[in-house]
Amino acid sequence: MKLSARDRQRVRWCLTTLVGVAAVLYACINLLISPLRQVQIAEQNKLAFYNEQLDTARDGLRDLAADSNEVVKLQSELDVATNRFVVRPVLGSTLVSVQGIVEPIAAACGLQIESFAEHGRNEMPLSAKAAGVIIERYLMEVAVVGSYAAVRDFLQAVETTNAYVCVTEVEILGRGENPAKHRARICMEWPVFGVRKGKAAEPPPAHNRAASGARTEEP
Amino acid sequence: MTYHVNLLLDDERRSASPVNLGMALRMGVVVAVATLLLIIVMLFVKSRDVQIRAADAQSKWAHLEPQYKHLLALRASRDELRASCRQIEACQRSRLPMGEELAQLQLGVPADIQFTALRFNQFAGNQKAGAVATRSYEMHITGKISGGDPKESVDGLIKYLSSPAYTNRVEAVTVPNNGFRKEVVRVSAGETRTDWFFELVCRYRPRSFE
Repeated sequence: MKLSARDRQRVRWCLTTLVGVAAVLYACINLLISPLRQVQIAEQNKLAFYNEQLDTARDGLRDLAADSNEVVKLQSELDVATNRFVVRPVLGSTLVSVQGIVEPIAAACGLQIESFAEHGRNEMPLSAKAAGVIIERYLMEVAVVGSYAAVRDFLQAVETTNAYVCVTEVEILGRGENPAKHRARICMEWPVFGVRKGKAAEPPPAHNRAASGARTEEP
Repeated sequence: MTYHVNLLLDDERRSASPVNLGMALRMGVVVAVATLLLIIVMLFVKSRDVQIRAADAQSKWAHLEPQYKHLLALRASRDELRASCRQIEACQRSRLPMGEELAQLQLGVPADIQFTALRFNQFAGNQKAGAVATRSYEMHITGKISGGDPKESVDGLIKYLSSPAYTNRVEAVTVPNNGFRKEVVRVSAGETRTDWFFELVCRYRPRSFE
């Protein structure tokens, strides 16, 4: 059917209107809706991030007092332990320091010390390494002569004096010529400050060192 | 012959549909534009709302962040202190109180047994990477039995080392091969004496450093 001029004009107007509306829609989506949506998503992400941070922080800050108390308690425990029990070298010699502890105890227990020997240091075989205070095990050996009871008393006294000393080996051998006096070899591990990798060995600051009864000091 | 007489002019023709196409199109355009405007306004409002809330959260965070950083520093310091304390405690945790061991041993040795050598050895236990390190102890006793029933005396010592006083610490007490034997000792010309000797190995339970 052939359209009249008026119909053709109407169809043309309709098509033009549709194309115009589509163009306006496309422009609106691309120039207004899409950027607005992007801004909204970015702001939502930002809001979610800050809300999560705030929740984490608030949860954590609820325990702030407990954490502070724990730090104070741990610090005090560490100070007591390091000041009282960790052996500090005297003029660079840890053995001299250990001798200073061991000799009076041996004398009091009736043990005669024959010799001391150093066997180096070992790291603590722990899965998590400490970054601050490094404690190592200083290995030494002392050869003594005395009765079984004297060796027993000596070991008990040493272990009581230093709660962190570890006796690793004991060898008591009977002597034919004098059955009452045995020859004994005792290996011990003493806690000492270790060397931080890349830094010089530095013991932590000793708080109330004098009050806590430190035996030996760095010169 | 049939004639078709068209009495309507072209501009007088009307559609059978009750809805005017032009009107429908105008309405459609108006509705589309209105919907579009509504969507844009809603998006804008929502975006603005989110922006305001995000800015509010950011300002709250800016206020809280120093305290949180202080908390994190405190926790790092706490963890470091814990690690340091663990190191020292490891010395104590893994040790076998040797003085007490000697005292305890003395209490249960039968009177007719005399030790000729007593040896405590320590060796590293678990050496696998990632595993908790341990140290283990072994006690070697070498002794002589004078008088009485030698087997009974050694059994008595083994029983003592397996008694409740030791069960928490000792894993196993064994007599090694050829660890119980007798030797004939010449005392003087024509006179001999039979001495019984024994060896015992007492393995202690591994002690963990952690």
